[in-house]
Amino acid sequence: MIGDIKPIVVDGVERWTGCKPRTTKLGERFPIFGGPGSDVPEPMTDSELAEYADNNLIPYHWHTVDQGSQGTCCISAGCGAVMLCRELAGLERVVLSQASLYAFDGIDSRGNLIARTRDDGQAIDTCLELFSKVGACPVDVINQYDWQGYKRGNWPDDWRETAKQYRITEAWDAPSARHMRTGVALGYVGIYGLRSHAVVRISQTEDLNSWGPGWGRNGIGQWAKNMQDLDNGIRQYGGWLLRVTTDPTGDGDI
Amino acid sequence: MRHFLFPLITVFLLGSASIGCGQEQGSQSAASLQVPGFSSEDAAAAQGIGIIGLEAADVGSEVTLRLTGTPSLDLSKPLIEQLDWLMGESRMYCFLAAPGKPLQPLDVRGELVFSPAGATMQPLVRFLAEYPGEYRMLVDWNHGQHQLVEHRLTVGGDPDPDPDPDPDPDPDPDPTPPPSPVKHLTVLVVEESSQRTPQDFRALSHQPLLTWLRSNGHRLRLVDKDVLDETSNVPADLAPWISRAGADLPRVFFVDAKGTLLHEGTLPATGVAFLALAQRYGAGK
Repeated sequence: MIGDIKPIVVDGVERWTGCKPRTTKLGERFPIFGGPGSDVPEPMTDSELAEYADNNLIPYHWHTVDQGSQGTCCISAGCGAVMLCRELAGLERVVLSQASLYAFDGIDSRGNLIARTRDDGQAIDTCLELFSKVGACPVDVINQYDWQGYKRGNWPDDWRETAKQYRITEAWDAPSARHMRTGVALGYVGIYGLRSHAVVRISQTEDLNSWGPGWGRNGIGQWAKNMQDLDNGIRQYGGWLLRVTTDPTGDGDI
Repeated sequence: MRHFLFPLITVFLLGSASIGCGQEQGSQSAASLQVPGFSSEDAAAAQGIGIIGLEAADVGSEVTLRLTGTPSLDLSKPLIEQLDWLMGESRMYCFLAAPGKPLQPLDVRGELVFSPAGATMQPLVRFLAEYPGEYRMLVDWNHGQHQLVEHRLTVGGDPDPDPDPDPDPDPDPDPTPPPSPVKHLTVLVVEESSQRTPQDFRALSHQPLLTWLRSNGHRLRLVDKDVLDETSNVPADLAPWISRAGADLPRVFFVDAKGTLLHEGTLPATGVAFLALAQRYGAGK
């Protein structure tokens, strides 16, 4: 392994993480959910959240990402979130490659991609910037673990054109667990970090992990144990709600 | 040339308001404002009640039934004193039995209708036909005489075909045929996703709906009106539908594999209603 990520042991199994604290201020990269000027509703009350406790994205879950022994949890969660958004939109089921964006540390001030040199993790906001400006490629274009292939020249020349089809176009910064739960109850896909690990928020109480289908119920379980835990994670690592991804123009048939 | 005023209709929910009427309407005196067939002395007397309305409706549609035979109004007297049959002890009670559901009470609305001939208070009921099958509406009215009247309504096709022993000898020469379920159905929902309500999402994430659509080769597409394609333009294949949906969102389109529009309407209120609607237009295995 090239990098600094050390595995943690969860239920007797070594798991890799890789989430760094957020690098931007609240609302800096994406508007605040329910904030001033926002077109999305304010967070629900406890009673409203309880009324819609069963609203979740689990019916739209069809694939669990496995980050293996790499620190790609942020991009892996991002891939899982975009796949959920695409499923909501009724688009073709395509497994996205976390390596296609983990190959980069970010985007410099001139808009150029900064190539990654070490497997040392990523912040979620950096990951979402890459997802919104570049997009990910399917695994049949770039192997899900071959992030080093970019520097080696293994990737196809037109990978960036392909990646444009899998971008995030609308997202919100969720300042708290209540915002996150509200968004999920409305069908937005959440993503947040906690204990150096990023996951997808798929219901008010459960997460979609990137440790393959062997964790939880086919990858779904509780990473944040309670709302205080979720709040703590969001405060340090950030939480975002995704709503819309690109919808590539087809051949005229809807 | 005679001139008639279009009826002026005022609707209010039973029990939610009292109405005071002016003494005169236009050039007619209040005393002359009576419906033909009724005098002011008859105003409190019940007639034989009838129910007018559809006998068949689509799943997800709102059904309105109108009740006839109720007393006329005498506008020379306070309105509130004449509505005992609608609001008093001998008031009208309506109940609805949806398919497989227990009997539920329905609100009765009073529609105050002014016309050149006079004024009437016409009761009506409205409900959402959420489930396929037979609905039965019962009216229990004990004003002056005991009456129990029933109206039946078939929603989403006849669930219990029962050959008509006395067929209509003069059928409609151009009936609208029921839709034939298609093999590949696209259910397109155009929405402003920022305005999506939790009720909307509950219907959109109804597991039986999603399972049925996918297992039968159909497709649900949830499209934000501001969606972009890979070139940051409105997707060409979605643009006509987004345009057609207009501002009344969310809007639902059922489209076959050739792009033919089979159904257009609002988002059904529940996942159950949404599934029933989809099953009407999409073929099952």
